[in-house]
Parts: sequence; C-alpha cells; structure tokens
Amino acid sequence: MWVNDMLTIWLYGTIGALVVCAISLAVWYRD
Amino acid sequence: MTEIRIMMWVGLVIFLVLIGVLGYIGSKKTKTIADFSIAGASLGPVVLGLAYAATFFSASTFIGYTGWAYEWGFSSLWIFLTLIAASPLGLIVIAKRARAMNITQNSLSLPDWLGDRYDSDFVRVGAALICLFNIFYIAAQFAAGAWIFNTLLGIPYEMGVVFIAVIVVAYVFGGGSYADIYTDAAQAVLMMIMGVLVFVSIFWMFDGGLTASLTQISDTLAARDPNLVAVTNPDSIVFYSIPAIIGAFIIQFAFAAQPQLFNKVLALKDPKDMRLMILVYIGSAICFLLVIFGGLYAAVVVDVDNLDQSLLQYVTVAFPPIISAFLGLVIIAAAMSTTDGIFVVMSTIVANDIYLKFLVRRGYIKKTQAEAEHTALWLSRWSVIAVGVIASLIVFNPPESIGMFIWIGISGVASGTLGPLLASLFFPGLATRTAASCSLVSGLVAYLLILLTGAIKSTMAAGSVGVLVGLAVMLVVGSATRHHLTTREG
Repeated sequence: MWVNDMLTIWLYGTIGALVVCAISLAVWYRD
Repeated sequence: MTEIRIMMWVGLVIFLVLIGVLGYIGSKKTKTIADFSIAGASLGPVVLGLAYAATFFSASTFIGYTGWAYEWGFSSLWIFLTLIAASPLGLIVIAKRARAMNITQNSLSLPDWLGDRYDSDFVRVGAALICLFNIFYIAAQFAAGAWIFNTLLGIPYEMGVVFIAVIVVAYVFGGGSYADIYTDAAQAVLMMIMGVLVFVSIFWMFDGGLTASLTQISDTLAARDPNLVAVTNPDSIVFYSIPAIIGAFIIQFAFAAQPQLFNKVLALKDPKDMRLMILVYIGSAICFLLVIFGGLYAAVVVDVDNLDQSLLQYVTVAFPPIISAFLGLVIIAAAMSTTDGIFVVMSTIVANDIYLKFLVRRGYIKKTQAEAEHTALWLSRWSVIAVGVIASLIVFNPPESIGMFIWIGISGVASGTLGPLLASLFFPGLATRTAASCSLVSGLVAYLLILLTGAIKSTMAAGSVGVLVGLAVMLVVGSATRHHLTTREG
C-alpha cells in the first residue's frame, strides 16, 4: 500500500490506464 | 492583494494581445464555412492534441475538481482516474473510424455527421437541437471567468460576465475554428505549467519527500474525518458509492464524443496522425489533472467558506503573488478554450446543420448554392453573438452551482447522440434510421426523467444511465429493423 487505499488505487490505476491506452493505440491504430 | 491585481492586469493585457494575434491569423485563413467549422480539415496532430485537451478541460477542472478534493478528500481522485482512463479510451475507440468515414462524408459537426450517416433530417435536426443544450456549458464558463475577474481584479461580477463574453465572441466571430484551435493550443501550455507547479508545491509546503508529505496530509485529514481518506465518501456529490463511480467512468467515456471535441477529430489533416494527436492529448491531460492534488494540500493548509475558492487561496499561500496572478489567467484561459470550441459548434449547428443542410436543401428557403454558402458563413458568425448574449443573460445572476450547469449539457448531449454514433461506427448492420431516431429520443428522455426526479444524486451517473438506455434502444430497435437496411434505406 502507498500512503492509503485511495492513493494506491490512484497510482496503479493511472499506470494501468496508461498501459491500456498505449496498447490500444498500438493495436487499433496500426497502419 | 494589490500586487496580485497589478500583475494580473499586466498578464491579462499580454494574454489578450497574444490571443488577438492568433485570432487575427485565424480570421485571415477563414474563407468558407468548412474553414470556420473544422479549419478546412487541415491541421497537424500536436496543435490539435493540445487544443483537444484544452477544450476538454475547462475552468471546472481548476476550480471545481480541486474544490471537490478540498471538501471530500481523497475519493475525489476518482475524477483523475475517470479522466485518464475512460476519456482517452473513448477517443481512441471513436476517433479513428469517425475521421476515416469523414473522408468521403465531409461533414462539419456531430449532428451533420449523424444526419449524413443516417441520411435523416430527424436525426440531424434532433441532434442539433440537443447540442444547443450546451449553451449552459458556455454560461457556466462565463460565470467562472467573471468570478475570477471579481476576486482578482475587483471587477463587479456582472461586468466580468460581459468582459469575458466580449473577448471570446470577438475572436471566434473573426477566426472561427482556426482561432479556436490556435488559441487553445497556447492556453493548453499555460494550463500544463500550472498543473505541474501546483503538484510540486508539496515539496516546500510540507516536510519530507513525496510519500512522507502525502502521509502527513492523509493523517491530518483522517483525524478530521475518516471519510476524507476513504475510497468512497458518502458526503460527496459524485463519488459516494461504487455504482456512482462506474457511472462516472461511463459518462467520461462518452465525453470524448462531445461535439466540440468531435470537430477537432474532423479537423485533422492526415488521419494517420491520429495516434500522435491522442498521445499529445493524454500527456497534457496528466499535467492538467495534477492540479487536483492542490485541493488536498489546500484542505490542510487553508480554510475557505466556498469550496470553489480553495485552489486560489492555497496558491496565494504557497506561491509568490506573480503565480497567483498566473493562476487567475490560467483559469480564464481554461474557461475560454472550452467556451470557444462550443461556440464554434453551436454556430455550425445553426448555419450548416439547420440552415444549409435542412432548410435550404429541402427547399424551405430558396437560394442558389453560392448565395446559401454566403448566408451560412454570415449566419455562423452572427449566431456566435446571439449565443454569447443568451449565455451572458443566463448567468447574469450568478448560478448556485456552475458544475450542475455544465453536466446538464454534457450528459444531455451524450444521452441523445452516443447510441447512433457508436452503432454507426461498430454495428453498421444495426445502424438503421428508425433505431437512430428512437435512440436519440429515448436516451434523452431517460436522462431528463432521472435528472428532473432527482432519482440519482450524481449528474454524471444520471447521464450514464441515459447513455446506456440510448445504446440499448439503438441495438434492440436496430435488430428489429435491420431488414430496412437492405430494402428501403439501402
């Protein structure tokens, strides 16, 4: 846990969201 | 405060000169209604990515969301996650096909795009009328801008409304979406600097490193009220329960298809650059959103009566006066960069979607093609003034909650238009004219019923129900009427 539950969710959520965006951009926008 | 006021005036003059120059460059380039609406589909990915982000995030991000963090604590970070996860995904899903289809379709706005796609006047005019709801969105931004002028410059609120309305109307009137997009890109850079500055202020406002400082904030708030550090806060008007959080994710996904954002997708010169445009948007969005932490810092450092004042108060404590003045300008920039985009959309709706593509094309108004094009450009500019006047009148008496005004518009537009939009992109076999019309009406009605009865506390969650109803009706009626695609609607 990082500081409290919500900040932990925020940290991993942000990283996860960026990974999902990167993957979907790579796959969906492949030319 | 006097020092801040002088700096704010100096900054405001420099800022107005800058957007004046950009507006002038835009006006030189605006010769047709397509230039006015989607900048002739001629712009590059970095400028458009920045403009998209600046349009997406308004004064509410800086004033409203930091206020939520101040009042309801860490659960307000959900707004960060919805905006960094759901909204980019919505854009990623929708943008590629919508832009690609527009190579042959050449539509100028969301209602125009839907009307052309379904070859339906009902869908075109219905979506156009729904989009006019966004006048409340403009009005709310005027109110936020006027409030900043009032607090930092001492200008009476009513004069502030007129002041900001005149500025925005002037450059949109002249430069259309070229001016909108150029000024937005400049405003995005200012907003990014402010977001990062506020976030890093933790290093001198609290003791120790990032973890130690955030622990200090968390402990202080937990001692005041355990709900302030909980994952959901029952006192919050947005993130009070898990279903409300899910609703916020759904409506933020739908936000990416808002008409003032959709026209930025249509303005991209080369559809192959879409990936870079989206990456620029996500990068700048993270920088803007870091400002929300300022609300958490403020909860420990300052004490305010009105939660919308928390960030401004915090910044005056944490930074030298010049930064407070800079924040004032950034909030004005944030309000303007969103407002101008909606202005362009609303005037396109009046001039193109309703006048040109409906009244003239169906013969209700008799004009030659050249005359009609000329009148449409004239109409698009004058409707900017009309919208500016009406929006100013709406908030001449300051509204109780500007956040509510904003979400009435966004949720209404999404409820009515997302079903037909998604079906046309991803379920073309179900995208019938009848289904689109039914989805438009039922999504909007479902949302309005929930809103008016107050059945759901969060307007974001109410909007998400409207969106889901609209989608469900689209798919069900689409399945029932799909045979029309091969026969009548071909």
